[in-house]
Amino acid sequence: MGKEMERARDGQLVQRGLQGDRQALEALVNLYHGAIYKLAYRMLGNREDAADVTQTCFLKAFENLGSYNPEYKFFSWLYRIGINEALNTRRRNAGIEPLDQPIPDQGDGPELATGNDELQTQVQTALMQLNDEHRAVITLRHYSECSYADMAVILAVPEKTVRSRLFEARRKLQGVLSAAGVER
Amino acid sequence: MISEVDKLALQAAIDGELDVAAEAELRQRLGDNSEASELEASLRGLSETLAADPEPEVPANLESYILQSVPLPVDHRAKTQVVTPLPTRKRPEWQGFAMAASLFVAVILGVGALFPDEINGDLAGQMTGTLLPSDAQVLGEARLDWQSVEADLQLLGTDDGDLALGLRADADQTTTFSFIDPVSGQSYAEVVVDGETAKQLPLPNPVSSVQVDVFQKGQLVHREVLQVLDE
Repeated sequence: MGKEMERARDGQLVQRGLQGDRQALEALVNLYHGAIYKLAYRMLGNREDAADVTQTCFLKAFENLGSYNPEYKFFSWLYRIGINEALNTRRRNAGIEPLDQPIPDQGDGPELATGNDELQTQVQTALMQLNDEHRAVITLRHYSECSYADMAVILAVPEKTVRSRLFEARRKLQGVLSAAGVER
Repeated sequence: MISEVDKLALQAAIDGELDVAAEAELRQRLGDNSEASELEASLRGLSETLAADPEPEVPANLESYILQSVPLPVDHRAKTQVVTPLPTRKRPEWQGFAMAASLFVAVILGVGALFPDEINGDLAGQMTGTLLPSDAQVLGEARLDWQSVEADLQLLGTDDGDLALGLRADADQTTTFSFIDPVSGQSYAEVVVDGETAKQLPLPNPVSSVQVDVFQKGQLVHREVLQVLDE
């Protein structure tokens, strides 16, 4: 499905949701819960927090559905809520876990227990050593495949800021990965 | 040494954010600049590393977890539901009643016909502090099944003309059931359910319909109208 068709589909689902159509909102959850979870996981490095953020993201989105501006893509609006909620969680956790240390994954869930575990752990650990702004642009670009324009909307910054922030974030991430011996 | 502007432009080219003409102009300008080549190789290498990083597995039950915990808005069209009033009668002819449950997304969840032999006493016998004798007849029944909330509702009556609504509910979080007359707005009863609960609630006689509002965390999460129909 093309991006314009996705946009039209999402717009229709939102309109139906605003009219109280629960199936439409369930469809939005079905379409985007995975993407929001992955985004939150990359931002937080913790499965439980990522699930909580995903839940809260949809809760806030549906509570404020009336304020959604259809001029923008629905997923950009949803990602923005997800990013903000992940940052809120990160700040709340700051009192519990040191900010400058990577947050280890808690538990032995399937995503860290099988397959390319080592690379995933190394990359996630490296991501957690970036600041929130840098981790957000890396996540949106490399894992959510957002365009610069989408990232500008999601992060509420000018596109030129996205470019410079992404460049700096990549430079720092390369440094961390190289130090950890992760290179291709 | 290439400029910061050109570094950002090269990054944009690798990301596919430059149009063909702009990229061609950039590459012509950079030529075989070794610093540009190193930067491009470095950026592409990072992209490959991140692309090789496996995606985190989304928990299989996450979607249902969200759907159960996020209160979805009720269909506001429920407010316009027309309730068919029953003729006033002092002594209802129970066998002529049925209770129908309509969900307002226009999907009929269940229509309870009269099956007194099958369900008589099934609910009433499990209730504490019952209003009606245990041999009160079941005049109709409906089932409400919404996300984490399940409720069986029975219209109960005696030959003396007493009416009650039997509620047996199970909710995994604190849930308030509010029973009101959808026409007048008069409240019949309110029940807070946390776990399994069985109660009888008095109803006026006659009754034509009962609106059931379900609240969780102070929010209206579901609305259903039970309509008493003449068969």
